[in-house]
Amino acid sequence: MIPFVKREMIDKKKWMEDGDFLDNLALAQSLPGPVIINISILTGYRLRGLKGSIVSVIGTTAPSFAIILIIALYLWQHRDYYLVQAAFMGIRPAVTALIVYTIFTLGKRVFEDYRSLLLFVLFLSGLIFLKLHPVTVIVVSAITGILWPLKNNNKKEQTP
Amino acid sequence: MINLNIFSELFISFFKIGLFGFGGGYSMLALLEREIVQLHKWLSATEFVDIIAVAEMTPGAVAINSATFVGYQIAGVGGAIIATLGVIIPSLLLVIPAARLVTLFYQSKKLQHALHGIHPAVLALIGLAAYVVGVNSIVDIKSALIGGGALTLLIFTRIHPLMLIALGAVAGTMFYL
Repeated sequence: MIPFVKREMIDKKKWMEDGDFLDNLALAQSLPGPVIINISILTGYRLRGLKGSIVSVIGTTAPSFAIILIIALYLWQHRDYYLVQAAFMGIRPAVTALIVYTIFTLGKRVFEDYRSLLLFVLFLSGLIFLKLHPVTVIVVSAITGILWPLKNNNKKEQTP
Repeated sequence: MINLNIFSELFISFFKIGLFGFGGGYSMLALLEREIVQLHKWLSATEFVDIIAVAEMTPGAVAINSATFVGYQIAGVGGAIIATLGVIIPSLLLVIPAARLVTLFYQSKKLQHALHGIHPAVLALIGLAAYVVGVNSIVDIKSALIGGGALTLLIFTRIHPLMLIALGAVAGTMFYL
């Protein structure tokens, strides 16, 4: 989705420079919330203040909101049909693979520091076996980061 | 009155997800699962996984799509609106002030370290999402084969996620009919 955003905002509308876009992207990814929403807010604010932010958020949300509602209203009821059930038996493992693959691609950069890998294993075991709340893990990781700084891999992060 | 109650619970749940959803998409799924499936038991794990599959196939951010869908499943169109707003509002409240603060303190070593420290945790949250979805997807040898095949395709080819999901659907109908 990010390359699409870049093409629309920089190449077509020329709303900002390449460098500014990367700064905005890094910021959007550091803050909580869906990255695309954060980018919309930052871009909208830059161009037209708070009103701009709200309009941009409505713009990025409305199309998928409408599509999801249509699926939920008209298509989801056919989920029990045997053909759809069989298809979902194959779709679910494919989705699992997509999520696992994200860990591979992001891990390449993050795990350059072996301590990240160690923390990853610790956090993941805590989440799965001790049922730690995700928020707890986020807070603990920020504190560990301050007390025990990880090597700065200093590249722009890309999250899905 | 019951409805009003569910709306406020929905809003609070999704507000939490937006507020603590560091790392975007998949890491937010871990939060979503904890709130929706484990805490409130609004959906079964399989329903949750199927909704994520649909959210993945639909254009737009996975986190928002799942919020809309889950909200609808729980409380109809009103639920969809409340859940979507719940995820977005923390960003609307936070991003501009945070952007100012971060630009001000961006040189601060401590902030940099904290932001970096979160990376392994974000990956662990994605790992949790993979675990939750995986446990409910890989149920026998056939589904394990489909999952393994899909991962191999992702690693060795530049296959588009939509194409992969379509192939998964085809494999499903071939193996499970």
